[in-house]
Amino acid sequence: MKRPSLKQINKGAAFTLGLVTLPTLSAFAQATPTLDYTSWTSADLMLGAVIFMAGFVVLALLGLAYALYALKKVIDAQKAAEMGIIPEQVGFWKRLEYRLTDAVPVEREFEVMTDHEYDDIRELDNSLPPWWKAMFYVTIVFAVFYMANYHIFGWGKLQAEEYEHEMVTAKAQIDAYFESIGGALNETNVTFLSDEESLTEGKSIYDGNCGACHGQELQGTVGPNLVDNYWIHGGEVGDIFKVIRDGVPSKGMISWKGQLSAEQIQMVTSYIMSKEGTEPANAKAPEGDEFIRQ
Amino acid sequence: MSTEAAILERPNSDRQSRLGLDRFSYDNEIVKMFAIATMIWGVVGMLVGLLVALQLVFPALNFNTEYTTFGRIRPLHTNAVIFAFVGNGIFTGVYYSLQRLCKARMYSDMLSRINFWGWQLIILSAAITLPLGFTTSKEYAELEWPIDIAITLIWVVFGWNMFATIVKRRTRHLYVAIWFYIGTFVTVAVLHIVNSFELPISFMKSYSFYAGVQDALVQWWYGHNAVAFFLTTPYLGLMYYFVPKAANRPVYSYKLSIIHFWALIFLYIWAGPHHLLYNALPDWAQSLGVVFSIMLLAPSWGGMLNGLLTLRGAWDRVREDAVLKFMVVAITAYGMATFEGPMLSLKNVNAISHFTDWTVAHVHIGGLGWNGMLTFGMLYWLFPKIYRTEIYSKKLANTHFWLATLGILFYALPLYWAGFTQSLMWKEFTQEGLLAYPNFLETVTQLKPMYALRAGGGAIYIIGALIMGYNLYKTAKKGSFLKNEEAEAAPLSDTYVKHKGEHWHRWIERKPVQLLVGSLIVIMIGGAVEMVPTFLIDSNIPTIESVKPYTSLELHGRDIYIKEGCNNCHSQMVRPFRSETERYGEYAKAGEFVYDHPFLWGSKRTGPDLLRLGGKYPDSWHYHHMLDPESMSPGSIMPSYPWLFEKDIDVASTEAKINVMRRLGVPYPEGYENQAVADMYLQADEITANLAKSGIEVKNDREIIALIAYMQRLGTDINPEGKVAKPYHIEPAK
Repeated sequence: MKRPSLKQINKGAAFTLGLVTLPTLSAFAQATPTLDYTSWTSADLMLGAVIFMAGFVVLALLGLAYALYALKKVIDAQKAAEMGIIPEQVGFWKRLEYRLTDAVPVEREFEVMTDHEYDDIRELDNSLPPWWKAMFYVTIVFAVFYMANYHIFGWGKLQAEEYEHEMVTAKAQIDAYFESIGGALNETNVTFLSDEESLTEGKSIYDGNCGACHGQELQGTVGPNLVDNYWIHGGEVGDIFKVIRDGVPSKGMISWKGQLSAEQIQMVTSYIMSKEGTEPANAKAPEGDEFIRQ
Repeated sequence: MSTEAAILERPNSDRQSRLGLDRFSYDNEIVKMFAIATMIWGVVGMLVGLLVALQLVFPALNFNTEYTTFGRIRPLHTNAVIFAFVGNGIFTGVYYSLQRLCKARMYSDMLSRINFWGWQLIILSAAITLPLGFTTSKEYAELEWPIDIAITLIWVVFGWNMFATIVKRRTRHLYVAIWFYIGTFVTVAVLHIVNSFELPISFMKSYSFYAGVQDALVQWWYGHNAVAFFLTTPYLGLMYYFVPKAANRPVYSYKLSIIHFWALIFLYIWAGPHHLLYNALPDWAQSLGVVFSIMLLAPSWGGMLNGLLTLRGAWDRVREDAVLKFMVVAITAYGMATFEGPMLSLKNVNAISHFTDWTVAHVHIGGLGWNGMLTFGMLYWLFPKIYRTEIYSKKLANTHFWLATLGILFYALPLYWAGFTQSLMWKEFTQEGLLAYPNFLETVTQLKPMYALRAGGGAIYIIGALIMGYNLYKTAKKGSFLKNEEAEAAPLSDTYVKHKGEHWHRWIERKPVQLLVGSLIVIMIGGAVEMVPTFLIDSNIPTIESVKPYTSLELHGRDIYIKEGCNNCHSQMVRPFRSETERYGEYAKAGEFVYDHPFLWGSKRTGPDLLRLGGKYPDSWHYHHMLDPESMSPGSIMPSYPWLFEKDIDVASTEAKINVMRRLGVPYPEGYENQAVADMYLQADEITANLAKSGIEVKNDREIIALIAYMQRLGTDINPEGKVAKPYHIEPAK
């Protein structure tokens, strides 16, 4: 086996030291954000930090382990040389395997054979694989960090706070969007759309969402008839728009604002108005007040 | 000890007594019985699984009868594969290995038979009662109280038989497999008893002793550890016996066995709350669930490593030997599932995976991969042994191996895809701030092709299992069964002299009682730390003034909801995410559930969340929807519930229900139980009047009315936009 030199020991140690000092230095460096951080919650950032820290701890431990390992090899090699043992040649993959598992090779397993015997099952007593042990320690460190982060120092946001943050961020984004397109459609500025395309789209929205309660022919079933000229909450385009958007919870009409965009509500409103006066079969009796469209 | 066993145990012949050897025999009959039961129930459980998988693609396969709907059949599948397939698998392996590891016949053949027939009867009663709708709704603990008691008794018989065998063993030390068996026995006993605390209202109906958040915590402490201590630790014990046996190799590391055994049982018990991340559980309990799940990674992988590295020097045979192949895939699947588990326990990953098919895919890596493949490997090894012959066909065994492996892949991959797709669809917003897929159904129909592929994968897996059944049947046919296997061993001397340099852990390996007590203490710590504060410290569940008990009609409706297994597809848990509060309404608060015996938060959303359903749709919508879901939601995969329109509400039980609820701490006023039925009709009349307005004529004593009342009540106690909760329609007499 190739003898690790003092140079290798230095490399390992320098790597460890570098890792320790690097983040300390970078903390002082002026951050120049180029990424869009707005959609990141602080939980994301905290998790990123924790993962980074964990990764860093792993690397630091590996560096340290490597330095110690190299040191041990030098000492072992010296001892072996003193005793006149010539180290045998082992291939790279075998070396890697032994290094990761710290296992005694199969040919020499009698060295770690215990005197245990159960129904002819014997037990070796190989060392715990170093990478496995390191992983265990890292997860324990992670656990301590995690609990401290959320429940001792209170740095991480707990779920209620995280939710508040998400809602505020989303509202800011939506407001910015509407500002960029010059305001949203509402009951005061909505208009009847008569073009074919809008009415076809309006019909498909109606069929998929409204038909179940108002009938596929708008004749009314669970909900009221929409083809007569009687309206419970007003027959103006703005009135119908408002009823679809906000719903009438007391009467079972649900609010569609979470499901249909203002433009979609405008299209379905227009479609409904375009069907006024048709005479479907089984039409439900009129409800509300008569409305004369101007 | 039975007489037969006593005779078989009798040390005989001069030669043996001169040598100081006891002559005895191992009971192979009981092993055979359990092995056959494992195979039969395995195939049955998997076929039921295939049926429920297909129901998601072809709703017509619900067959329009109440006994075959998804909500009732899905628990049948989970119970069958967990307790019938794996349960019998555990007993097969334990009864075979324990005798040999202890150099003793099972303590009592009588107890062995009681264990066997008792367990099969429990399974049979589950297979009958679950389709009939007798269920507690608590996952993997659905069986009602009389069956719970039977399970406890049979489990004690098993433990008694096992422990007595250990006590009269002829080997000084207990092998690692037996540590796992003992850990399994005590922990499952504790889990089952604590989670099954329930007050009966009648022969097959009870209410959980715990309510809401506490019930959820206890249930998932149980649910998670059912996976840990029923599907994992006993199978690790089997791995420690059958892998070195089949590979004829020594176990890799004794140190690793020690550390991973104790670490695993200690850490596992804490991890339950990871099933309730972002739910209405106190943050601290959730965080404990997260960190203990993360710390579980290494101990779990310790088991995988000890299994795989035991095969060092035998890998050339893995290529040839189907038994070893099954075991390698089993252990690898165990490693994958136990890596995925901790990852799914991170809150930001869980936010995506929870309530989706991702979880279903995850458990099937464990179920089909770890439990299934290890069971198959074990059976292929066992049958030739007890039938003293070679396996009938190595080729068929290899075919089974490849079918099973491919089956797992075809099962899991589409479901991972489905879970991811659906979660992303749930969470996507448009620029205007609207949900991109506001109609929940869109996110379901999108998954149908994946559901179809999954069913295909499952079918391939089942075909493999059937081939195994044939192969093992033929093996049995050509061999001759060895009922009692002769063995001899020296009895243990009364004194034991420790030898020099002995590992400190050897002490407890000589002391089964200490080992049992030790594992009991280790597993009690986590459960106690999490549960006790949740029960005792009020601030963990802040009280909400407006939250009132259910009316008698709503309570009946809730019991119908439970009976039909609605919670198998619908959650009642809006998590604090914008994508959920926009879709469903205000997120769930711990104080809302204080009268929920049992809690009904659910764990999977095949359909939408129902926590804020109350007041969302008119009564008539629900009426039509329950009669024919597609009439209100075209393309829906929900089954129809026509029998709810025929059956009468069980008013005979109303009084008992109110009384039991009051004993559980629900503040119904004195005397309400006497007026509960009258109160019920008063509320029912409001609903029938409401329905009449929409042209629906229905009698006020039909089950559908109670269900509508319950659904309209859901989530309204703290929802100012919805209806105001009215606990009573007539003021109870003072």
